[in-house]
Formats: sequence, structure tokens, C-alpha cells
Amino acid sequence: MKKVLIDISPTGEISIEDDHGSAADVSQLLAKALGDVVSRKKTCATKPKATLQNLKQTNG
Amino acid sequence: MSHYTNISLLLKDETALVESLIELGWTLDQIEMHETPVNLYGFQGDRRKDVANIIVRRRFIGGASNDIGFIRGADGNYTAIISEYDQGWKFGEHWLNNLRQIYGVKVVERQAKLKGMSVKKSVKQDGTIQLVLVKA
Repeated sequence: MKKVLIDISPTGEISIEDDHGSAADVSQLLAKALGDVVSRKKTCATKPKATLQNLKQTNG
Repeated sequence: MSHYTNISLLLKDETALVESLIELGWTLDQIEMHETPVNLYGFQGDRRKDVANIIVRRRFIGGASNDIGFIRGADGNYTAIISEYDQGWKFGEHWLNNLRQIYGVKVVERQAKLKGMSVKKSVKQDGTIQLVLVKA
């Protein structure tokens, strides 16, 4: 299944998110149709590893 | 893993731009489309030096308005030509942003249709329009 999320802000700013890269072709097509790409990045869905700082904050 | 793309919106689709103007209240026969740009007219009927490809004439705007137009640049992108007066009373930044938001939705809906994807539209509390495109 392909899924793409598009947010269009009241000021006309647009962000596109596609899941797992399966719909990357669609998001690229949309980007081209809508305007200029300002930035494109990948994000990891896995949880961040606990750091010493995080543990200290958790343990309060 | 997801991909996030941020876009700087450009008005480059004539059909979507005209559809957006219709959604803002004008009818198709009130919107002129010219391959070669033509002059805009001021509130006193005076011909202005400004030219545009897409025009809403002042008689369809009301008040002491001037014509509103959009000129297509060499890069194919449209720029709004709106007098200072009209920006001051109704067609300022807020109106333009609203137009851009509607335009963005029109472009996305068209592309989704071409790709055979369904579109679900919702509006967030901050006014952001969210479109979810799905293809099984």
C-alpha cells in the first residue's frame, strides 16, 4: 500500500511525508508539481537509545 | 523509515490557479485567460502599464477596486499583480496565502487522480490542510 501525507499550512508552506519509501515516486511527482524542494530528509522510526542524560532525567 | 520533503510553493499550473479563483468566489466566465498578457485597468477605467495572463476585472471585484491579475514569467510561474489599494482592503497577504493553500490542494488532488490514489482531506486546528493519499 502506498501512502503519502501532505500538509499545506495557512501560509502556503508544504510538507510531504511518504511511508517507507514505497511512495517516494508519488512524493517526488507532487514536489515537482507544487514548486521547489527546500529540503528532503529521511527519519528513522525506531526509538532513540537511552543515554546517560536521558536516564538521569527519568530517574529525576 | 519515512521521507520528509519541504516545498516552496510556486503558482505554475494555470488550471489549478483558475480553479482556486473559482473556489474563492468568481465564476469561470468572470476570469480571463490570455496566452499573451494584456493590460490591467484601474478603478477609473484607466489603462495601467501592468499586464497579466489571468485577470479578474474590477467590475467583478467590487468597491473602488482595480483589476487583479497574474502574469506568467519566463520560468512558467505566475506572480500576482494586485494594486496597493486592493492589497490594503481585501487582497493582501492573507488572501494570497489562502489562494496558495487552495491552489496547493487543487494540484495535489489532480496529481492523486492521475496516480489513481484516493484523497482524504482534513483541516487541523491551526488551519493547516492535511491530505492523505492512499493507493491499495
